[in-house]
Amino acid sequence: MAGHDEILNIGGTGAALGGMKLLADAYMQSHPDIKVVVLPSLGSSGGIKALLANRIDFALSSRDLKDAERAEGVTAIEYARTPVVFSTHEETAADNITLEELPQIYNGENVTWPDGSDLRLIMRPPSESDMKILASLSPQMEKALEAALGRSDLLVAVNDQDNATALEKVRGSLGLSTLAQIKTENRGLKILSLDGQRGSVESLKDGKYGHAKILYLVTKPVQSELVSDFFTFMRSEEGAAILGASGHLVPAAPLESGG
Amino acid sequence: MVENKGRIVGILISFSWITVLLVVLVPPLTYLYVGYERAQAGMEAGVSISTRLVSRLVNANPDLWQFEDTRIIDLLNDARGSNHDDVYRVFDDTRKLVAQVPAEIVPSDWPSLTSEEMLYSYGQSVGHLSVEHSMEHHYITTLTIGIVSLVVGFFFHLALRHLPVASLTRAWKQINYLASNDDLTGLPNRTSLKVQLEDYIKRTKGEKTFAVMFLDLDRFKIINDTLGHSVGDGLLKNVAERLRGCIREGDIVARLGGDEFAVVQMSDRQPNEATVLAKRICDEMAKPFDLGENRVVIGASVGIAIAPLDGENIDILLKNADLALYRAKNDGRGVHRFFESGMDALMQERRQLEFELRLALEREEFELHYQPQVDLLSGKIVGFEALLRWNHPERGLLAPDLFIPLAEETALIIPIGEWVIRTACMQASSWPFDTNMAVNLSPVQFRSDDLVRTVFSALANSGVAAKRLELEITEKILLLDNEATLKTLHGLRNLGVRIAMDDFGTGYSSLSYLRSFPFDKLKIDRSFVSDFIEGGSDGAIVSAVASMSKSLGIETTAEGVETEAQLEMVRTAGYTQMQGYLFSQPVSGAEISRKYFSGKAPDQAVALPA
Repeated sequence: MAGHDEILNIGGTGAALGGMKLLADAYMQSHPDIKVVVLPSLGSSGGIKALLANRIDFALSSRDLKDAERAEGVTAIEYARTPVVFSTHEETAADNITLEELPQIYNGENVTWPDGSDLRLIMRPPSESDMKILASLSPQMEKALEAALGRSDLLVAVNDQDNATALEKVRGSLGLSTLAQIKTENRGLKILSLDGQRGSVESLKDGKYGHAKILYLVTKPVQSELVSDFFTFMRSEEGAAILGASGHLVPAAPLESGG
Repeated sequence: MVENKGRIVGILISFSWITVLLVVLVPPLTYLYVGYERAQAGMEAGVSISTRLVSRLVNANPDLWQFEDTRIIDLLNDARGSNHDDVYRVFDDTRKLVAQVPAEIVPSDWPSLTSEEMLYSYGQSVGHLSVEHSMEHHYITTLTIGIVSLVVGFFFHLALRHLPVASLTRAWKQINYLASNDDLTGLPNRTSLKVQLEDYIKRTKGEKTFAVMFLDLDRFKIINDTLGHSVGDGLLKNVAERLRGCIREGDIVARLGGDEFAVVQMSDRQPNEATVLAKRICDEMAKPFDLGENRVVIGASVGIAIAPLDGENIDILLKNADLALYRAKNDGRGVHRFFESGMDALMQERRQLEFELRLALEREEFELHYQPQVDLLSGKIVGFEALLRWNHPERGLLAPDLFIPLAEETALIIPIGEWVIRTACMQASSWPFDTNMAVNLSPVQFRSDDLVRTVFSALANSGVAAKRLELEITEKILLLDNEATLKTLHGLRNLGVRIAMDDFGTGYSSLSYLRSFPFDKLKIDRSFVSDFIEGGSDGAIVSAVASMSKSLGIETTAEGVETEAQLEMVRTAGYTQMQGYLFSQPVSGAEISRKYFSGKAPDQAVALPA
């Protein structure tokens, strides 16, 4: 393979990696002299730290900046949002899950699917953004999550990719993922509707489905031409089409985070 | 004894210290060691587990793993669990801190343990993971256990050392006290007295004069046997108290055993001082003792030996005082006697006599002589008094006063007395039915439970009617007005035998005895009759006894009638019977048979000579 003149390193939240890889591939098609490297999941925090340490060119975050991070001079721009969906093993019979059922499942009171088969919850570490999203679903859910974090009988997936893999492999699994990750990574997962509402770009767009993960681009104040060029590609019709087709709702105009 | 105590105390103290050291040191040291081992093992396990977890993360992102600090913290938190004393740290290969759990650490001067493990990614060292375990809580708990152990150890020390040693010392004092003092009276015992005197003699090089007195209580045995041991013990305590009151500071009173006491007078003005003290003791002992409901009168005999004249060592002094005591007792009791050379020979003689007395029964050396008792109205012989004689193979016929006191002292009087009763009854069976037989009883015989049975058996074997047998007792038997004596007397009376009071008038409170038991007869002591002088006081007494007895319905016998004048006196006085040399001296049974009953049927009486 011919050498590249420039390399663009991208890293951060696992939820954004799949979509970013699609964009990178398309970008490299039109820019053969540029190599875009999408690093394995660093997590949102890890990505921002790597950016600050100049180890990557921009970071991908599934959360807004913390004050300390903002104080370092970085900025975050929302470039897409994707429905957060409860997903399960392909063979699970159930199609739907309700907000009412969830607390019993997380605190361990309910360990079976409606057909009686085992329900196996896939957990994330407490610092992960998925946990914050789950806690925000309801006060009961926040309490149930505390119980779940104390349980030693559950698999805890360290990053988004491990999480998706576990959901794919474990029969009767239940966990949180994003539509974008499932689509971009071609995950063999069954997506469950929540309270009868299916998570999709459309349902998110028309407000029928309210649970979404916002994806940010985190950049330094001074961006390289390459980064700017890549961002331009992202905002292009082609870029928007790639994202839109892979479970991302792209805003009409990218929104810069306050600060 | 003291050496033994020292050894036991030494063992106790050593045992106590070892136990206390174990109690104080073992719990905290064990806790410290076990806790250290556990902390070390826990730390190593924590390092191993967390290294594996973090390595997995590192391998998934070998280039930029160090930016995943949040995830590493989650992993470390998981591995750390509830080990709050542990600090988990992950460093990159530049030794820069990547993650730390907990985030904030309070600086501490307490020692800590650290365990480390390298982080590898595909064969390359990328950093290391360390677990630091603070020993603060462990040392504080160890210290607390140490303090508690110290307190417990202190109590162990008290319990194992001070209390047993104190108890042992108390027990030792008690043992020494008991070994050297009489438990009942609290007075020094024989051993203690000897030790004190030996010390004194040694200290004064045997040049100092002092008096050793040996005391024996008169009639103590009778009181002890008849009123019971508790009364006897009470009497001994009272005696001890009175003796203490008699002596001066520096003198010693000791109880040697039974009713024997010793007094040592540390005065060199001898024998004068000893004489004064011995008299005072005799006087004090002669005063009545009130023991609860009982009032008893005893007395004491005192034997005295003067050191160094009568012996230079304590054993000889005590032996000589004992010989002097024996003399005092023989001289009528209630008196004191000084040791004299020759007393030892007398004692030897006494021992020889005792030996021979023991053999006399077997060798049939005793015999009975009989003295007639004559009715003063009819002039007929109405009975005989059996009188014991010892036909000694060398010394000839011995009168009772030469051996009865010894027989009583040695209790030989019990088998001898039984022989007398049986022999007298057998003799009476060959004489006319209307002649009575009088037999003397010793107070010592009353101590035997078998007296009533012995009398019954003698009567049964001889076939003599009980009413013919008259048992003579002296005031001594009634000296102690107690139930056992009275029970025996009534038992005898119930057999049908008659009871006479012998030697009446020589005791203490004669008249009160007449109230205590219904005697059949009074025998006025021979001394009143033999000392009779017309118009004298003895005559008045003789008359008074006769008239009193008459009004009480009691027969009277006058003993020791040797002259016609005396016969006339007792007859005039109203005595019902007499006996004495005037009519006949005591003679053998064969002589009596020959003289009075030869050719006569047993129912024929003999007349008083004109």
